[in-house]
Amino acid sequence: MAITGGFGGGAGGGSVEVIGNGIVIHNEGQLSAKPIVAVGPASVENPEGIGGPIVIRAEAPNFPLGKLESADMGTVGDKVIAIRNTTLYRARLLVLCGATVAPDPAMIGGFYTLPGKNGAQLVAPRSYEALTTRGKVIEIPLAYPDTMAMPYIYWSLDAANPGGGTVDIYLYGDVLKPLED
Amino acid sequence: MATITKDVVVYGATFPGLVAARKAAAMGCSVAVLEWTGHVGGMTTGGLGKGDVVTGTRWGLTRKFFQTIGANAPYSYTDGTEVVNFSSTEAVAAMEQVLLDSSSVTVVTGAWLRAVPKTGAQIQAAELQNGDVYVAKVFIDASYEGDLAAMAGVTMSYGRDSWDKYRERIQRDQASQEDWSKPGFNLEGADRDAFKSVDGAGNLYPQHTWPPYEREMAPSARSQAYGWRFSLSKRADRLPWPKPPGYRREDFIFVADMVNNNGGAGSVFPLRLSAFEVSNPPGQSGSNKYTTNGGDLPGFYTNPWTRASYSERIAIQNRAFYLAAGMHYFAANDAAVPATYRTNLNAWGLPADEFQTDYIGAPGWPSAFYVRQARTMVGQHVMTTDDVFDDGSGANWYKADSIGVGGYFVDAHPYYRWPLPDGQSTMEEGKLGYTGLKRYSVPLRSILPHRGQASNLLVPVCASTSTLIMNSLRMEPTWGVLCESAGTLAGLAVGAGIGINDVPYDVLKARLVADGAVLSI
Repeated sequence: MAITGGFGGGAGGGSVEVIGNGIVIHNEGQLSAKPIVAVGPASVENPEGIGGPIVIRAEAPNFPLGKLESADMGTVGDKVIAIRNTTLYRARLLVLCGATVAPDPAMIGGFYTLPGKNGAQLVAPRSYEALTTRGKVIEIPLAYPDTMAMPYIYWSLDAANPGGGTVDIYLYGDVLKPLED
Repeated sequence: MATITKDVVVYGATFPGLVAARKAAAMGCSVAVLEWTGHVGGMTTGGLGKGDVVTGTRWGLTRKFFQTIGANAPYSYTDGTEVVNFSSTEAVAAMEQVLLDSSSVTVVTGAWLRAVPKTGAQIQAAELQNGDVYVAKVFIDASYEGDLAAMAGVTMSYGRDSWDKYRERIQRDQASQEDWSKPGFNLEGADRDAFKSVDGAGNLYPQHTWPPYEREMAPSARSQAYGWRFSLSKRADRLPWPKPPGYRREDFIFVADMVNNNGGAGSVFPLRLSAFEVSNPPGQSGSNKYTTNGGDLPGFYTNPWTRASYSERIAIQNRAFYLAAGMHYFAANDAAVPATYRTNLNAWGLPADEFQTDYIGAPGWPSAFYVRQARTMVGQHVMTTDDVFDDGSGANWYKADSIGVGGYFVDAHPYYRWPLPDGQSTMEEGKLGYTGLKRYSVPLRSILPHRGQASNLLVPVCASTSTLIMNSLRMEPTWGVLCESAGTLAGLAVGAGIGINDVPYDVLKARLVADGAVLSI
């Protein structure tokens, strides 16, 4: 295959041999070709497309699935974390951080897939007193064995933090089906 | 591979497409009708069951079609009475009598478009993927999807308009203020329903949608729900709910959860169908033959359709069959469902005398997937609510270049049906049912593309309207009369050897009036 003119920026240039199967970009009359680059969490395999297809993938784990910022620690009951990026996923990690006050050890709560501590229990009731400052982080690996098509998960406090305050909650995992509809 | 030359090519063997074809044939044209599915007659013969008519607006072949159903058994009217609610077999019989009775019309099914080449703005041909080329003077896109128009480079819109797009005026003169909704995403008009959308673990039911992340009044690439319109039977010879090929019980466990936890919302049917008895002789009941409404599948089974390839559409349709058939089969047979529910559901079945050779998935299943609304054209005039806005004078309800009259209520099925975080209730967004709309005329300009885009194309189904107006216009009888006018215009143009844009409206109007057209309100 030969491309004439314009390639490489020179008008009226001679024919140019194109090797491989890489991406050729047509930009208002100019043709250019360059390797694909990706920034995490995306990665690219065979970026020049020579000898095989270009493969782009999202690196797992730690792909954001949903979040609840400023979750109220001062009341019992369900705090809803909406899943935003996927309709079918595997949940792998919960991260809590950004606590506005240090929670008392008496604050106990778990994570569930339905309100009122129903559905599957993702995290058994536990305390969160390690969140002593805004910068502290609690990571909770999840072991839920099945794929999930749950639009929400719930942080349900059995006992509220006497001093109130809020905390940010992030859910990470693998996107099996992206949110398209 | 062949080149076939006709006067007129109609893309879409829908009911309105066949009206256009038959009318053009009546005016002396040779016509090829290209249909991408394997089914002829569109929704009218594919399970619609209810005519969704507007009083006093039908004429010509559309009226004759409904009169022919009325003249046939079991109705046997002799006074021209139209029957507008019917079984699919009655619709097929009338279609064959009224619309497929001309040797000048050739219907080709499985006609997948490959290209629509033009010279300038003149469409030269419809090229099919099997290599056949259909050359014609005039093209009419009467498909539900508007594929030919889109492929010809006509500006087509799809999905849901934002309010910003046309700045449509919103009329609220009913007690239920939400009925005439705002364009775009409209949380204000959404309904909270007391049934669940998630199973016992919190997973979304597959016939429901993920919670939306849209701004109020924003546009989206989503359509109102497609789905199934069934013919059902309570007769002794009814067919049992079919077990879809590849049935896996675990795919339908959620149905037990639905039934046991009010997800069926009290309906006999897991898809919450409403059933209406049809096929009764005048003054009688007890036919035990039914048509249905409901069966909506918003989201995954709807939104990708318009831009999907033909094979992708078939895949979507097959998945919609697997889902709906599997839900009914599970509910009718699985021990996880209460015996009373199973007994009630098994009192119903698919008809033994409909959809026996033309069906999707299994005998008795409808032969068409209900594509309620796909593309709309951006043509010479875009009908918006301004065209039907009731300012008291009625002035803007009539168009000087009218080719037919619409006026069905503004009828949209849900765009979304999503679970609320309470785990117990569901929100439905996008439904409209504004019945205050008066009849309005449809201008010729709204079925004509801009001349510079396609000078010999008419688009009477995916007409040039806003989403809100198409919610009303989209009824088969309304499309039927618009298509009869399109066929008339094509016939006049071919007969005179001129372009469709060069036929004076007065000439068209004279012919339409002579044919009994209803053009004014």
